[in-house]
Amino acid sequence: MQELWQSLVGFVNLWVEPLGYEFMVRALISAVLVGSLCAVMGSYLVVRRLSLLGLVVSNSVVPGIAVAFLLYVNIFVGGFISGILATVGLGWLQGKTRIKEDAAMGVVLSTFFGLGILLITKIQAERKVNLNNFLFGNILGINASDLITSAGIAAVVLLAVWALYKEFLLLSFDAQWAAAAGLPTRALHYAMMALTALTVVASMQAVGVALTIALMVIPAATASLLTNRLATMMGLSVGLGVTSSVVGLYLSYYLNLSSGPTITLVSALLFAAVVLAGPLLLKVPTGSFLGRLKGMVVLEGASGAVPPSEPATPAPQPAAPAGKPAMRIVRDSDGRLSLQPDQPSGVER
Amino acid sequence: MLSVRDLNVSYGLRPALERVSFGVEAGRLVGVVGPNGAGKSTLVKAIMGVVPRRSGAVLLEGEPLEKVRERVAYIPQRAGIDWDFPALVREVVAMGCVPRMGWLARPARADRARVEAAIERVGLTDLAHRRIGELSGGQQQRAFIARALVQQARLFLFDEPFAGVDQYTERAILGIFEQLRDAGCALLIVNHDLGDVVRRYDDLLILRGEVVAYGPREDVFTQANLNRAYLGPVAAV
Repeated sequence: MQELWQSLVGFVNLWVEPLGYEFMVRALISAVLVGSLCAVMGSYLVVRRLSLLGLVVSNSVVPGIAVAFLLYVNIFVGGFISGILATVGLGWLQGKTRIKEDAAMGVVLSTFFGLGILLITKIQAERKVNLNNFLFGNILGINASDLITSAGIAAVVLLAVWALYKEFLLLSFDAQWAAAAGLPTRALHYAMMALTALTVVASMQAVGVALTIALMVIPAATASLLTNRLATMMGLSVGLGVTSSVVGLYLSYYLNLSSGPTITLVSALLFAAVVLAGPLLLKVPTGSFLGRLKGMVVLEGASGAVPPSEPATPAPQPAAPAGKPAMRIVRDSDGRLSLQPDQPSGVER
Repeated sequence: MLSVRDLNVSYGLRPALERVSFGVEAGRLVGVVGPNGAGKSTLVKAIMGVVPRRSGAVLLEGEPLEKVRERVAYIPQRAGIDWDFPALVREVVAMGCVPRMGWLARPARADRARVEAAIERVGLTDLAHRRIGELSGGQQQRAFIARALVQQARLFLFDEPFAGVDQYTERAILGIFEQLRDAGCALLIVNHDLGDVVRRYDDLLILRGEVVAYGPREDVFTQANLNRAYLGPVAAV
């Protein structure tokens, strides 16, 4: 009993003791902030299938950071502006040319990132400073003023998501319908991307721009396997994100590891655990469980068979009048269209 | 109620709709039929303004439709939706409240009651807590009709509401359409099917890049009009 108590105390101390250092307290606050912020915005990216766009935005803040550094402007502002420019540039490319979405993203992402790296290596050589922290994150080295800025940004983003929740839900679920219903979907999309850019600049010192995408996408993807509601998904995602960043922070403290990659790998481990254990916990077949990730849920397997609420046999139907085409277009369960004769026995499901 | 005047739409240089003019009175159930590529979906989208109009005007109760969008319910083809989206049937139906709600507003008790009533009307009460993607095609279609009911619209635009639904659901949907019509709404329904359903419409708009015929069903549903719409290659549309 005594031994058990001792080891429990030891375990708690493992977490509490480092908090004697002020830098560790700042890092912990930062981990909680960044973990929840990235998880909320990442949930939108995942349900809208825009994870890659998150990557574009996050990598595109790099030249902005460099230019801001050159001009002695606030690097948060520089990074934000450059992330927005990339999003607008991408929208322009997609609207004005026939380039496909993924190719356009590849072009914008690599151009901005290339320019950013070029500028940063130049600055580092000339000014003898280290900007690697922005690329790969150094959560243990965050100073108080940067932490306050990050907290301010997080507050703005979370408030905006709270205020625009129902509009963002409509945009994400059915953008075409939302536009038809009179919602300014374009403005909402760019607002969402601006919030994503803010999330990236608020997180870059903790996990680095190269890996903010991990903290946005991995917890959200993990949560998407476990729930049927966006709000619940966001909550779970925040839990997973905060867990990842806090555990990652302590690992990086004790093992002297780079914080960004460590946090990323912890969230990847949680993802792997849910992928492997999820089907057992939810008692569903692995195929349909993971189907949610690739967008191909097997209807019957998802959570027990869907009971057919309609009678199996159709009421008799008069034959189509002679001389008139009596074909009907049928959409099968995979969404493919096919032409079938319109006969009384033709019950499609 | 709805007045479409000289509507022209093109995709690039290719005209999709030319000089389309027609009007729909309140309390009419109008079917839009025509071959593939005749511009049926395009017509509905152009009315809603989700595809750009090259020229033409769309008025709802005398006002440009853009200004009174909340009076219109648009039910797009099902294919455009991500069925893996984490949203319950009840949440999808409740989305119909949003167009009439202000920014920052939260659903009131009356809104929630309307949502439940709409779910019951389409017979999805038992499935309201399911994820939308778990429903069958016909049930999903009914969920979107419930969302449209919640919108309290005056004009309903349906794009292929009967695609992939069984005959029981088809009949149930038609019943709801007729109730809406009898309540003084106007309905415009795009339909591939020239079978049984056609006989339930009051008016027919036969389309092939332009209006082939429009009027009461018994007047325009003739072999001659159908031949003009369906026979021969669909050129230039």
